[in-house]
Amino acid sequence: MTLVGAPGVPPADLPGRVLALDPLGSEAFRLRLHVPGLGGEPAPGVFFQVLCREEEARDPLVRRPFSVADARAVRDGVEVDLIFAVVGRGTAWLASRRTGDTVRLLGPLGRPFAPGPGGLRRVVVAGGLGVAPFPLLVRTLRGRQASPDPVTVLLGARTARRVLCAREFEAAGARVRVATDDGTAGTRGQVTALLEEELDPGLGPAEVHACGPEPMLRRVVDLCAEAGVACQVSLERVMACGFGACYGCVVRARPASGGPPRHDRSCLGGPVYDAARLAGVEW
Amino acid sequence: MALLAVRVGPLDLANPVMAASGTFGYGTELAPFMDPGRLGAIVGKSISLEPREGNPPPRTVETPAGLLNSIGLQNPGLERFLEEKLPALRAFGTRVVVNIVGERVEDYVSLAGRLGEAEGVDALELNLSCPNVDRGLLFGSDPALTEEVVRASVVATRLPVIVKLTPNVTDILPYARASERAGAAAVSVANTYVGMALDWRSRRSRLARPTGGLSGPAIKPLVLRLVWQCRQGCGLPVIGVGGIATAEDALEYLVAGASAVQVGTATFADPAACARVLEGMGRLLDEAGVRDVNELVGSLRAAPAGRSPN
Repeated sequence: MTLVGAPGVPPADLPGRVLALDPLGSEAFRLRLHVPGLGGEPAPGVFFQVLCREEEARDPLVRRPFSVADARAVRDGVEVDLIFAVVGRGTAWLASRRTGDTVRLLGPLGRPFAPGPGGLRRVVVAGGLGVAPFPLLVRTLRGRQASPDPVTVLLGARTARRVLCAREFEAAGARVRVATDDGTAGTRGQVTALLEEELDPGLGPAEVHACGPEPMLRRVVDLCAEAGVACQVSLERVMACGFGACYGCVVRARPASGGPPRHDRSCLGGPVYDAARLAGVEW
Repeated sequence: MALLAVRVGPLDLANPVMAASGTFGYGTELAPFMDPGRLGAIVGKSISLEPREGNPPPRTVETPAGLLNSIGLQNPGLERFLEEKLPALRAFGTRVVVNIVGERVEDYVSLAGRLGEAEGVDALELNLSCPNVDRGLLFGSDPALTEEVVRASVVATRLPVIVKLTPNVTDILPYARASERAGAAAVSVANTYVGMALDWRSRRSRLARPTGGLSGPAIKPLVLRLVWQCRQGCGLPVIGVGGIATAEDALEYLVAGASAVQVGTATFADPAACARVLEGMGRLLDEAGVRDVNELVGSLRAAPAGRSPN
């Protein structure tokens, strides 16, 4: 049985209205948008290309990709949440929006997380802002069945104030474990050390979903390969278009059908990849 | 409703708006967002004889009102293009221009020959000027080599041959004229400008390779001047391509001397950009009382003495 995989929502270039822009931790924001034209709730792991300027302006030129953090179908459209931090000109513009402003979104784009059949322990690994796609995934994993699989969310961050969404995950019925670099919350050290504990075969068969900094993801992919545990990771790339036209956002991955690694447009083939396609590859 | 049909040498187009190579995939990528069949022509991403994996990421970086790219000609190669990409391109029902790239004259000859035999190809565009592969600028930055490779391609195919010129030369005219002597049908002016973007803290390029090709609104004034220069100094029709994001931009290129235009980087931010440029062009011409878009081509007047054009 497939837990996730809402029927495909056709991508479109749509106006979204800002419902709220809330601070999240010490560095991040959660942008809540009402998107009237969206054909349904996007699946966990897909993304939108957000135009971070006025339409008539020509700078910043290209859109910025953001994972869907959460989505709720409402009577006249869909409410979409995006989680981001200010890292450049585009995100600075986004962080200066006010309630009622319009923001253009192109999407949903990309391939979602595709959790395997029920009956597994679900382990989610999020490093820093890599938490972005997981509120929707965790809610979906917990909500789709009468007796949902147990979900453990492992949150890694530099410091306590950058641990994001912990209470939200708990409210969704997940068990949350935290690791911080400075030990101000949870255990001191790396989130992948928590993953090693969770991959103990004595705990029963598991499946892992991860998103975060690339060194963390490499460790997650290696650990899951060693343990023989199914794993999917959401990767980040500098992206110009988001729909396969620019060939900018490639990831080196083995084709799903097998064979040597090839440059794959992550906007179409990702951003979520099966870790088996990445293990041992300089992606 | 203004007449929009144009001729680019032997190539008749329903309208002057084309999709630029490397910004439109092979058409199907854009189909969810607009009807590629409405455009005057679609120029596909460069095709080489053999498949190419392209450069490592990061391959793009934004600059003020511009985009640097270093894709490195990733493409499926000629055979898979013919099998997998061309049928869908043809099905859009508009002109199909195949952009080809090679490392040797013989590569262009083979590509031109094979594509001339394929059904549903309306013209070739020679990429002589990719800045992102070793020796990619070779043919495009020596007028004698340009003439040689264009002539060999023209001889090898029944199709009209368009030559995409690089702006990375001191004077573009010798290249336009070499293309004309060699029997080209038109020139596309221009490819990207070689540029750099770097992070001084890490002392690293923001691209995986040190340099990339600059496109987008940032280069429009530079390319507009190149188009005007080619129109003045060469007999070939000119296709204007560089930073076009709106119908106004496109009409400026026509006045400078372009017979048609290509919309490129704007598509990345707005997948319907080509269609919007086309719609806007018809509306603006109607508002201005211009009955035929061809009236604008090369219509630049001398500025009145003592008055700033602004």
